Amino acid sequence: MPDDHADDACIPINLKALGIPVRLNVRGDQRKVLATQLRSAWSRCLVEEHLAGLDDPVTLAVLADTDGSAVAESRVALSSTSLPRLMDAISPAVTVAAIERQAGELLMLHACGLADPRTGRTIALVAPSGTGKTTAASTLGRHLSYVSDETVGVTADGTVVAYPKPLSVLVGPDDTVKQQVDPGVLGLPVAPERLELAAILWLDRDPDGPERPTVESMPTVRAIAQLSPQISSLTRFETPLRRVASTLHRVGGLHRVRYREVGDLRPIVSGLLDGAR
Amino acid sequence: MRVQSAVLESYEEDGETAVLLDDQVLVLSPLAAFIVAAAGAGGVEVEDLHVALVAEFGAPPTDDPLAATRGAVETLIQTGALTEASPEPR
Repeated sequence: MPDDHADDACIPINLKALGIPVRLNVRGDQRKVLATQLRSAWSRCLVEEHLAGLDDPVTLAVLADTDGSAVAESRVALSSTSLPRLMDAISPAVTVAAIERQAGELLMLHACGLADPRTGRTIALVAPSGTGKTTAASTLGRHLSYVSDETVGVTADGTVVAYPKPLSVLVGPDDTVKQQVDPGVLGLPVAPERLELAAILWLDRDPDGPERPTVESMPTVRAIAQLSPQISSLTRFETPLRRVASTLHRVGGLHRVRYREVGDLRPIVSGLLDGAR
Repeated sequence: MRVQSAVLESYEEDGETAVLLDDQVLVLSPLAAFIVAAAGAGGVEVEDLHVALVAEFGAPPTDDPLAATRGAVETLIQTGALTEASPEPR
């Protein structure tokens, strides 16, 4: 629910997601605890208070309260007596709000983004939900810079807009709530300020796949069809297919890799970031 | 039967064509891409379409050309690339 005002019973948390300012107005008797957890997990996206009001932020109301009846009666969408559940719900809510604001501007790939810390050249590792983006980020990101584990936003000129959100991780095999982990805790380096898309790699994890990863280049038209379900708000562009084609041409097309373990991808990712085609 | 294109955008490169529909992107064969382009937003009668297809691609080796055209049109309607259109007023 939009919430445009803060007061004494509200702690504002100001974030930048995909270049969009997002303000979380946190209320309830658990607001201080939740605010501390949010500042830690979202540390890479935090914006200073004195800068936060400049750009017409998206505001989201959050209620963290031990009183179940207060939560039940509230009309706040992001409300719970459980802080882990709230943390888990806030992450996609922030992402959706930012995506909605950037629709028609950024090409937003459902991808893990990793950058060369020296050059800012960035690779987007595209995969459907639950098929390895966060694992790729946490495994490969220690030797690179962390851009996102969820959405890689690309401008028309190939600039990447970082979204270094917390990594959303299922810790136990029976867990239903994802933990939101500060990328710094996982040892993922901060990305350089200027990022440029250098490659797009489609992840095709197959436990029975080849012992060594195999990489193929896809023709543009097939690449567009392959990528389109993993692009947010694609139809909001005036000419969506041409926008995707232009991005593909800029980075040497879409590469598709079949692999068993994400660690096997390290030389392929390095090669693409170094400009090897 | 008259059909019209439901394609929002098409993109061709290296002899392949992608088309954008409301909620998906499809890759079309050259024959399917020709049919969709010929139908356009204004629509085309299938009987007229089969003549254009034979001129462009030649007659199919086994099927009757009109029956083959109807079959291809049905497939494109099922995938959402074509929709049935009202008959053109005489």
